[in-house]
Amino acid sequence: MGRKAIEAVDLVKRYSTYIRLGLFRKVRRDVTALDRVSFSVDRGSVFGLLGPNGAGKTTTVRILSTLLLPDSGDGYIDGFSVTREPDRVKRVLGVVLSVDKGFYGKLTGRENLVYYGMLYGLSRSDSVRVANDLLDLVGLSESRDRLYEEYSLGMKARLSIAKALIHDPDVVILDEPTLGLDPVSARKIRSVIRDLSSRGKTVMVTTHNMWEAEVLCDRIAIISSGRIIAQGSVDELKRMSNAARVVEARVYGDPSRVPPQFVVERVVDGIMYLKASLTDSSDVSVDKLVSMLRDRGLKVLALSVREPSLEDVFIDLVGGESVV
Amino acid sequence: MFRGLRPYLAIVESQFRVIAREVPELISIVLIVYMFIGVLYLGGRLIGSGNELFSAATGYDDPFRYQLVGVSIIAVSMVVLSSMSQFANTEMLSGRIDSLSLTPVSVNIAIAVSSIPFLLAMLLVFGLSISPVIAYALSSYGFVSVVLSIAALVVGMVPVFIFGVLISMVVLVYKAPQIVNLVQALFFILSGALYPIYVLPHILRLAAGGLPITHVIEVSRSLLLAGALEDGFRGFYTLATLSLVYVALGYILVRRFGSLLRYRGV
Repeated sequence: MGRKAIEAVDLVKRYSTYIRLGLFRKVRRDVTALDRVSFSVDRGSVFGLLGPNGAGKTTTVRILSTLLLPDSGDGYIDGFSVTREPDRVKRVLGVVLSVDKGFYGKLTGRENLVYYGMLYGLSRSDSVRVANDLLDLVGLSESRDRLYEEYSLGMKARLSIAKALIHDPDVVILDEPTLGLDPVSARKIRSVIRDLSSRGKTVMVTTHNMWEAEVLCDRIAIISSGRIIAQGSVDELKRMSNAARVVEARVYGDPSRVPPQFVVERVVDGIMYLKASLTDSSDVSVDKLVSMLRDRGLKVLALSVREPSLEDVFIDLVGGESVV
Repeated sequence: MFRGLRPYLAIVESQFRVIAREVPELISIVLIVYMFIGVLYLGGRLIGSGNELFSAATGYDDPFRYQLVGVSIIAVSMVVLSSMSQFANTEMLSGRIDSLSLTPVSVNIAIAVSSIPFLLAMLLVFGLSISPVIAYALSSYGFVSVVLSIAALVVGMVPVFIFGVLISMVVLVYKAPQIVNLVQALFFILSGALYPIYVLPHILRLAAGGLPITHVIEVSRSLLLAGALEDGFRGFYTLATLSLVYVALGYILVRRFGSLLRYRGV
């Protein structure tokens, strides 16, 4: 049981694309989608792979799901190699690649699940039993006999998760499971993910929803331009980055006497709303900022310090990069 | 062993369910086959209106039966090809091919199995359309001719399935669903469904000789229209040998495409 649930070891994947120059000319361009990507996920934990669009999240997921071969490196699910033992990996891994794809529109939700159960070798009766249990788990019991094509996007997303669990895998990978969902549906998906984690499943989620990653994940890796640029718990990532704490103050007094460390955001009825950023490398502290205000004859009515969010950390580490 | 078949039974069952819920589409497929056979038969009648000329050109004296055998067989093979490639294409577009690839099921076998419901439907259509010829053969040449011609059709369908899997792989790897139209056109031109293949240019005759469906049609005509058992058996052996060659080649190519598919992704 000492093995990691998921391991990516020096994964490299290159693609060739063609840039069209006019009607007939094209130039070949090699793109490195993954550049020595390595990370590992502990059993029973929720791991987040964060990155901007085009960073390599889906390529990583497709390699770990045995759908794509890397140029070099390897991945391991429950200790089984994704390149050399794909059939064993498929037995212990459940994957959601796209929340609204992968089903027969003309079959009901339950029929679709039974179909996938049988693809994994379950008997019809076992498949029906497991499908019913999973429909309960994802809150689709009442809609189980409706055609899939009549499902809303949120229902399709929940059915996708049920499909990934049909063979009771130990490890589940979800690629952008809440993408495009309304807040209510997204909350239901997050609740299912937490439920999975509490049942001892290892869950890996890719997302660029920072808040979601912060509330769901025990550990996070940030991927950018095909490289893992940071990984750790949310707190570790916050310590790693140079993202600023934000000091917000409500102050009364002469606007011309506001210290340069502050920005006046707005003035309402003579009360100024000020903001200042503090990084670990700054040579001023919160106390010093308050002293500066008081020394200049300004009356501090209220003051709050907001810790950097994961989004602040992400933007600090990744910069403004986004392929799309 | 039966447990190993479960996934493929599930594919067949789900395909049947989908077909059953798309009755208008199913009816349209059946109608298209009938229209296809009807239009081509009428065209053939016009071209071979002089029975003596037709007999001199083909060695058979009835253009109706001659073309009915050819067109019915080619229609079945075309439906097999198009249903398999269509399955691959729709599975790819709907994301189901990814989901299928995530299960321990062989995608190649899944594609082949997926055409079984369509094949059964088409065999029904085939049986109905060719029944006048079968009745004629039973009364004129006996049971053996009919059984051997059906055996030839079954053996000849093996390479058609291999073609189907290979086309599906091309569809998945290169995302080129139109390839099936090209192969269908080649099948139609080279199979001799409407005319004897000796009218083709030399190079095309060679290509036609390498196509199993050509031999299926020839064997079936020999047996059902002329009762030539000796020719039928000889043609059947040729067809069986050719099918074995296709199975071996198909195995190599499918493995090659399979690894390419995993390297490039769907």
